[in-house]
Amino acid sequence: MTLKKITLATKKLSKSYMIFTNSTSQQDCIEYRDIKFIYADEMEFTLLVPIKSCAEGHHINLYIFDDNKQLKKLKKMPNDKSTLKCHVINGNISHLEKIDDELAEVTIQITDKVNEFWDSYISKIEERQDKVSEIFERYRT
Amino acid sequence: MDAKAQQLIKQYMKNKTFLAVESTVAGKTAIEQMLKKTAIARKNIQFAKNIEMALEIMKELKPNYIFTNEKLEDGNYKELLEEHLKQQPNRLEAGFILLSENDSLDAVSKVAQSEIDCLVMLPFTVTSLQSEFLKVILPKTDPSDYMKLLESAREHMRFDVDKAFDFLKKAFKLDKKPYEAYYLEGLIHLKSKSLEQAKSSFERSLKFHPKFYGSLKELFNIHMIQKDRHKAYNVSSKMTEEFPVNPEMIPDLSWVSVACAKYDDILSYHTAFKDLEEPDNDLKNYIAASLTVYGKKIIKDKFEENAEVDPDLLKRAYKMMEEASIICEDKPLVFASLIQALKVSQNTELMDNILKRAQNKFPKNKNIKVLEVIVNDEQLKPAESLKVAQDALKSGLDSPEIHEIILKRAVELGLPDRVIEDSMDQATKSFPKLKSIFEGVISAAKS
Repeated sequence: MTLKKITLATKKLSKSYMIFTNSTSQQDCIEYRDIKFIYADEMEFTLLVPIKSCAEGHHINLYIFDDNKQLKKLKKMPNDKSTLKCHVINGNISHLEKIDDELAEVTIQITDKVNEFWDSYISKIEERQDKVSEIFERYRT
Repeated sequence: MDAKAQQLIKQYMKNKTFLAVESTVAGKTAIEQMLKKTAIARKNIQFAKNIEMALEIMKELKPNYIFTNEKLEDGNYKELLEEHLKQQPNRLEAGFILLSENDSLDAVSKVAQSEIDCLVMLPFTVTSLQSEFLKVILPKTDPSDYMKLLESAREHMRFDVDKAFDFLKKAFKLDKKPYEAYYLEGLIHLKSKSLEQAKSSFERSLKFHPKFYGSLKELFNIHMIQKDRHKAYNVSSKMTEEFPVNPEMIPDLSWVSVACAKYDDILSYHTAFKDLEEPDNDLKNYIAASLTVYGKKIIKDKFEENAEVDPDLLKRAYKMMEEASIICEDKPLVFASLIQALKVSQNTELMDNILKRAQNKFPKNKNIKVLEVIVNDEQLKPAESLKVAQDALKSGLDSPEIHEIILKRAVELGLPDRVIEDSMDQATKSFPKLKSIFEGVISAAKS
């Protein structure tokens, strides 16, 4: 019996998940559901973060995960960061803008990154857009 | 981009106005910078933080293009889209761009079927934002005569159908494959409920472009309304081959596959479902419903229609019905449907298993309590079953099925006519429209 190949339109998102350590205030932010990527560029990126987690001028270490499997089980930031299966990027908060009582938008100037990872991350963002556009076009043309 | 294209963009953008509905500075800055690079003056760009502000600006300035974040603090972007379509019905001079982090197939396919021009994913880069915007505006800077007629037809479709038809008549002659023009013609016929004419238009559209989703979907819907299951099936096959299947469509698609005895389609949905890592609850419920439809049909064929049913097919039907009860997340009616179907087959073991699952999932649900009575009716002696049903009724579980059990068992036990009449009165008092059904139960039990 050869079954037809069906693709189900699921609600699954492909996105990265992030947590960070604020090395200036010595605070950790593991509320990954409240951290969102808005914009990425070669030398800076912008996130939405919980409002009390950081301030302008602070230095943060951002941990980027491909999925949330490890984060779901994380109760607190581990002392040994090598146990986190993720990529790391570090930067200084150059700008902070309050969005509402719970969220702030922060722009981070990158101070330290693995070039290969960051370049491929930016490429992935663009590839993701291309994939979405391709699906979109299929319905229109 | 060549010089000619740049010139066309510059010309097109002259006097166009823009509104960005975006609460983040990064979003606003990126949109502003991108638009300025595309030869738009700063004075032609407005910003709003939320829907309320956006609607105020729209009322005053009627912007040609809107960029909006999908998530807005005070409502849904669809309100803005609807207003924009009213304000700017000619979409060659206007556009609506949605920014969202949701790249799921479900979300993208739904947005693609709407009037939105494009979907920009968050996070974005300067490149991704600009390239998507250019994809939207480039065709509009130098549209063909065919495109202009299509947009004019679309513009007039809502309020001046005759004019819309005139534009389409001209459009048909201007393109070798005018599938969009026939699609629009079909939509106009649908609006005036002329199904046959709409059907003909969509069929013509598909002759020029057999995989055009809009026409496939509308034609499928028409065949379903007209209960032409074979034609509906043919169309649905093309849809499911080429496009992701939206979960909401699974019940209709399953119904049509089963009605055409294409049982393996249901297994295809199930196989695709099993490959998913974390399916959402809605999808689970829809797949469970499709497996239920599958099982019900085979059982009906075997036990009610007395048709020849392959024993392997029956075995698979039972397996899929069990699977449905395992997958179903939060729809008690799926369980009710499974048990009602299994009652006919007298597969009491499976009925029991499914009931136990239902009881675990929905311990206080009224429908499940009714199912308990139904399952008991299959397993208990008539007098015991009658007592269970009567107790259930006294406890407030008033359902047609319970009355049917009481009537059937009362007749079988040879209870006095007065008792049967009282039970009948009670049943018809609660469910007056089912009087003939209850009378049928009594006469079936007497014979």
